[in-house]
Amino acid sequence: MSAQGSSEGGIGPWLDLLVSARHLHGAGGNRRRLFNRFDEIFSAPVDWSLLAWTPRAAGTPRPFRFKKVLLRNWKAFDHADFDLATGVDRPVALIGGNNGNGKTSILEALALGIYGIRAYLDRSRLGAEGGAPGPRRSDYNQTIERAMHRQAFERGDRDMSVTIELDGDDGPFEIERHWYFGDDGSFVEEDEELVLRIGDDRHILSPPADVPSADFAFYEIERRVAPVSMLPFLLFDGEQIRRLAQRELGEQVRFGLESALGVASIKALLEDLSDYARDRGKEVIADGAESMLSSQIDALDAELTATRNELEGVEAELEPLRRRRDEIVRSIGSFGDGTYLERHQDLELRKKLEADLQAARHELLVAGVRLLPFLLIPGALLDEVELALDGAARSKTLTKGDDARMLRELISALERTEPPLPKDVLADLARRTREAWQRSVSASGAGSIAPLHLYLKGHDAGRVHELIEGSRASARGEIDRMTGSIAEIAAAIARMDRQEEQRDRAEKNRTELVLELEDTSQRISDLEGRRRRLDQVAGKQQAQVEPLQAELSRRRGMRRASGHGGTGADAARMAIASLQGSIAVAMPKHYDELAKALTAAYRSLAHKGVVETVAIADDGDVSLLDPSGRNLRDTDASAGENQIFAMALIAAVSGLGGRSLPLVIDTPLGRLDTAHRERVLDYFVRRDSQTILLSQPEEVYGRYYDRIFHRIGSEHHLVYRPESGGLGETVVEKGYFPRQAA
Amino acid sequence: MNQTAALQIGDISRADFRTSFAADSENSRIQKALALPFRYQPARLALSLSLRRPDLPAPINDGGGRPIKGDTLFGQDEADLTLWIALIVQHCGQSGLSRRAFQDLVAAHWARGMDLLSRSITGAATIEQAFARLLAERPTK
Repeated sequence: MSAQGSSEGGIGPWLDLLVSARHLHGAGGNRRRLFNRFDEIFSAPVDWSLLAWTPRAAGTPRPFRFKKVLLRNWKAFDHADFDLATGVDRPVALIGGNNGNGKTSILEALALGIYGIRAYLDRSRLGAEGGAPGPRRSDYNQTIERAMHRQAFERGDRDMSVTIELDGDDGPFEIERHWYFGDDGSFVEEDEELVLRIGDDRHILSPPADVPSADFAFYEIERRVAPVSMLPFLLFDGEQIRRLAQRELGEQVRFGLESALGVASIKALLEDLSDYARDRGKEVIADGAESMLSSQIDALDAELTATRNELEGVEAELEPLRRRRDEIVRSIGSFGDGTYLERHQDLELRKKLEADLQAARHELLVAGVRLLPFLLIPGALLDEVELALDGAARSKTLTKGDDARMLRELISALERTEPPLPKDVLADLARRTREAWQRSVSASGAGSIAPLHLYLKGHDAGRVHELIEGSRASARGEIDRMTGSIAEIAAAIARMDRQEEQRDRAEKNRTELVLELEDTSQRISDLEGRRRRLDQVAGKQQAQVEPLQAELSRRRGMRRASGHGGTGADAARMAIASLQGSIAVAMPKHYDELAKALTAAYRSLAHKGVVETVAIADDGDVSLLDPSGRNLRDTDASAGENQIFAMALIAAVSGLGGRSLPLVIDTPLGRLDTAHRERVLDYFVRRDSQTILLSQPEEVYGRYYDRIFHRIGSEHHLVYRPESGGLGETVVEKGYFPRQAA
Repeated sequence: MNQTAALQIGDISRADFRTSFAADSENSRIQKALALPFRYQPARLALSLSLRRPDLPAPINDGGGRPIKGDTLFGQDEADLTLWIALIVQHCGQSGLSRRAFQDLVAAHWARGMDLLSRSITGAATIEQAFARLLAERPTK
């Protein structure tokens, strides 16, 4: 392993040892292991005043590109896969999304996916406004709990993951981080799983036997990607730029350079070494104190173990109860449809169906009684009646008196013909009409009333004939239609009855479940109270045992250290002085390089063009010089464009020492006026290293899009799909917004 | 009204028709079982079923049932009334029936048909079930 910085001369590896000891043993709250390791290191016969530190950034660029990002159950994404641009000619990846569609979620996925809790703790340093308390680990847990995709959780998923594939100068490097949740949605740090893979065959990177895997993984990630202190210069959004821009320029520069050089890591080492020196510098009183301490520790350990066992017992009782509570809550929720309004509507519908059924039955009855004879009576009998009725209908014509009247009217009509007909013609026509009439009347009397049905005489048998003929034809169809309709209504009523039965059963179950829920909740509450008390007891016991352990450790350390040329404390003090001297020398060395990069970036980005040079003095003070060498800040306190300076600093820091880190920028142009938009866009897409732009549709469009099109290697856009009654989800589609891509 | 005079539709319309006491009781029972609003409704079904048989029904010994007017039993529309008369007369095949003979014939059909109806629809709880059973038994031609 190599450390954050590198040391020079024959003593060089010892700084690496100290830094890696801190990485591997110093992350948790207990520093006993770290100090023991320092004891071992400082026991070496080394002149610690020669220890020196040279920042890594100047000599060891580690360019890499984001190749793939896979999100599962992350925030608004059920799943999302991004294949990002990695080509040299087209290093820009454009991801479009409206506000609220998940752009910032991608930024967060990258930060937390790569660095886990360290990203959370470190990034917030930039975010913390004066004096605000630093983030706590429990805040991280809450952040992770809130990140779980709600719909996935509701359908039973209990894990969320982010996988990031990088192309580095060591070949492919993959970071896969999973977070697992309890059934109540809770997350604890132990439920985080991290897998690192390297090479084309994705070989899993395993820690050495004696190294905690989390520390090892963090060390590898910082080594292969970038120090976590570089996060604000790797992934950022407009809000971060604003916060940076609010700082004084000198402070901005110092913050940027310290982040780039990894000074924060050396400063943290210095703090640990100071604590170590204080701890080990105390007098050792050689008496029987060690054995007394040991027995006290053993006794307290036994008590602590007993308390923890009891705690485990409580947890074991709690777990099934919580599961049952969740089941009950889900069951009660699933009954769902029992509102008063729904029931009332159902009742109304049921009544209406009953009324429909009665009406349909009545219709069937009336029609059935009328039509059934045509279906029940043998067809032969009906045929006979039909024939008889037909004959009777045809025999029943007009009465004798009616015949004569109609004939008279016909002849009278002939006499009124215009122009009048000659008498002889008229007489001939009248004769012929009478003959035709007689023939016609004789023919119509061809039918006759059968002797059986003489009662029909004088009645309209034709209507009866029509009745029998029509009814025979339609009876079956009508009856079938009506019985079909009745069957449908009856089926609907039966369905409603079944539904009502189910609802009654559900109501009964719900009542029982509510009672059980009350009981379960009470038991959970009691147990949680007991657990809290046990936690407090365990905390007190732990607080009692820790100083005793530390004291015992110190005494043992002192005894080990006393066998060499100096104590560990002396060696540590010498190392501290040497390293502080190195930092004081190293920082100004890089001011020049940073000032050049900053000048180039600022001049490209700034619209006004009045600043010729950005200069940084040895004390870190920043000057904005015009072409004549005058410091514009002397005459104008607000000289320069603050946001642009912060942006230029980010660009300069990320490229310091030829590092060429990728940049992931959320809403890059959001806070800029139109005068700066093109300049900023041009600058970022012109870089050789990868740039991932998370953009709104109104931000990169039309001529802005055309301007960078030739550098775009991958395009995605985020589409929000609302869900009735739910939060909806975001899906990823290839291509930028359709109208821009067209 | 001359009971022995030739059959007249108007007479039939005004005449009372009744069947045996037993058949009338069964008429009432079926009317209630199927929730039918009128007494003539089971009676017409019974007449239909009786007419299905080719032979004439046996005359009844008593006319103890409650009366139903002709225009109620067969329908107030003259066409309906006439059709029933035609069916009964055609089935009988006897010309020159008197009104009285026609009334006796109807009483006999009603009684026989009620027996058939009673057997056909045993167990039916609704009118549609009753109709379905009757239709299942109906002649194919």
